[in-house]
Amino acid sequence: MDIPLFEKLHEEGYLDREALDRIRTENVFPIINVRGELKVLLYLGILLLTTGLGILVYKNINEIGHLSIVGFIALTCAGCFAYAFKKAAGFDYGSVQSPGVLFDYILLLGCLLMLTLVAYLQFEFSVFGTRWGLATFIPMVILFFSAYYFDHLGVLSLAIINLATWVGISITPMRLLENNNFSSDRITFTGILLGGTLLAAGFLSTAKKLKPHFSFTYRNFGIHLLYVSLIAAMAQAESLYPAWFFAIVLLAYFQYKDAVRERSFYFVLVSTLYSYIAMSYVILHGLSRLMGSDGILYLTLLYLIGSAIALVIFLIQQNKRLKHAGLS
Amino acid sequence: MLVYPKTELFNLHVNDQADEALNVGYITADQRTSIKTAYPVKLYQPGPVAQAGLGLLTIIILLLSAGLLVLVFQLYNSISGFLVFYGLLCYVMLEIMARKNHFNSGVDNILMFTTAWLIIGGIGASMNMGENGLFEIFISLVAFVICAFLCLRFSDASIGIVAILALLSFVFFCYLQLGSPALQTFPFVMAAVSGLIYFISIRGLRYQAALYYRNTLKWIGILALFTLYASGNFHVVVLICQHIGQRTRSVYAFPLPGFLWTWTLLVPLIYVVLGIARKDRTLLRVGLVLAGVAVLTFLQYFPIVTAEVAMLIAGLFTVVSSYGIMRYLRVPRNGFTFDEADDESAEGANLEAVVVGEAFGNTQTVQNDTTFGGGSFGGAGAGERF
Repeated sequence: MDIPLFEKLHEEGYLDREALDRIRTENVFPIINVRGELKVLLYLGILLLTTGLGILVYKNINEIGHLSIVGFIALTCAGCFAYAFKKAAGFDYGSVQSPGVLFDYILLLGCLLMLTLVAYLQFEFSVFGTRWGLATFIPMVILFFSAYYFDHLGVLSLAIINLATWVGISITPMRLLENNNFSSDRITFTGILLGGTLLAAGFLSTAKKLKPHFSFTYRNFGIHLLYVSLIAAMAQAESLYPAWFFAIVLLAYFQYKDAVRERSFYFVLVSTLYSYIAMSYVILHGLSRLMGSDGILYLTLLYLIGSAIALVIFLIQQNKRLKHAGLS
Repeated sequence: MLVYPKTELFNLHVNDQADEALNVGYITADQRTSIKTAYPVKLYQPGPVAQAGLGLLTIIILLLSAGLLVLVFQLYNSISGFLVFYGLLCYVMLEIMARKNHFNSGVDNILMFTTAWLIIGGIGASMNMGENGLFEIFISLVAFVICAFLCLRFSDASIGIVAILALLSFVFFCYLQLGSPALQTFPFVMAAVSGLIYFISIRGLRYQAALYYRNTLKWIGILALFTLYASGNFHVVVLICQHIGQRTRSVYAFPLPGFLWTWTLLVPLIYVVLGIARKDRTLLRVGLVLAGVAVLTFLQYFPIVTAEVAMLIAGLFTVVSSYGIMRYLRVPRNGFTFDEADDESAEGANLEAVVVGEAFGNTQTVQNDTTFGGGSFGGAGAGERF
């Protein structure tokens, strides 16, 4: 800390003597809180442990035997959940303080092991037979229960991803486009339905005060899936694409109002970028029909450059507006 | 030299110090508010989300504009000239944005890097100095001059890091011109230069004159710690020797492997011990990261266990030791504590949820030929096949 600066602030009357003395003492006898560093190390350690164990088991499956592995995973999973139930404060409609750092990681480990156990039982022993849906439905229910009962956002993420898997879509953020075939109507419409459901769940979480801090996670998954699905539907539709574009505009309008109300620049940015992509598709689609191939390239470049600059100006204005709204 | 008014940068420093003091509980929120009111900051500094979004759009604008200019003016045969011209154009835009008070807004960062790369690339593309090492010396000097100028003008830490990397490259290639003696001593020289840079950056932080470059000096110090370690890391030196051998069409190996191994394994430990002794969080963090690098380097050349066993042992060790330290530091000891009282913000928790979903959710597969009730299974963590 800049001690001369704080002394100057004290002279100017912005700091009392007590605060200055505390700062001076801290400078001579600093107390470093290594919470962040230790949490990162713990997370890294668990990641290394589970990955190493997984590979080791995979490579030595014949020596170890399936029953031993299933037994080990089941016991460890049960142990993790037993620990979680013992330490948990119980269900509450609001936010529940975590009993400790280790609790979060053990719960997450238990959930991951549960998923692995169900997958293993289905793949190796066909426990669910041909009812593949059950093999995703049961873990999904357990994950949602765990997320709500133990109040764990990471487990909620896994639950939502499992829900998406159950309906036939991959929803992991970085692989939304590459893991799904959005040229398929089934995927597109499923995506729209699921995205809308997740947005509604986010809205209800806040409106009904049922774990309102879960709202962001629901909305984050929902908004990306819904926009991508709507844009895919628009791109696939021949004559009906104005209707899809109108749906995107409507969604963007309501999302924008919601984001401004909550002062969330992230959702303003997401809505704006997706709307921009949709609008650009409509404009370029129209231009390509009106003009020949020579003029279209230059016009496209001019449109994209001009619109991107306008978008930058718009986003800067929105960001400043939300910042000032937050300060006032 | 600075494009920004010094008052603004000073006020920014005051606000940062006030935020830091509030976070650790040494001042009240009211005191922080009154300080911010007395020292207002007009610089436009959006958060990381806005920075990323604006930066991405700036890249798109720059790429498309370059494409349009090349098409319109048919500049296919004068690329180096175009690069320098476009770089200077980006610099003009950068000056305009800085005067509009953009400071780490994403737009100015991208413009700054684009300016540097285009001008350096343009100059480099027009040179033909053969393979005797003169080109590397010249281009690294040009890069250092340009990046150092941008760093001093715009007080930007990231371009400052690039400037230091260019300086280290310049020193390295100049030193190699000495021939055989250089090949046997370059790790020592690079380590000495890195150490000097670290020393200057730490000393510089103490001077009021360097107030407007505090963040830059801090990050240059961190870089110097890494380059100091890299100068003697066994794998890095081996790679450099292989590269030199390819250039000279000979086989070359550094003559003191024992020294390199000692450096590789001991320096991270020294960083950690010094970090604990001096209560220096930077040294501690860098030491912990480099300890991991040291282990990886060792296992690469001495694979005493398989990768999965190494991960198992490392994971077990890390979990047990970090949990043990957490329990030990619940009561502050020797200037360190593990205090969960001010746990992560809502933004941090939301980000962690996204990271968990991305890390553990992407191994699930989907059966596209079924409707609701689909998905091959809800596996996560381990692979989908056993």
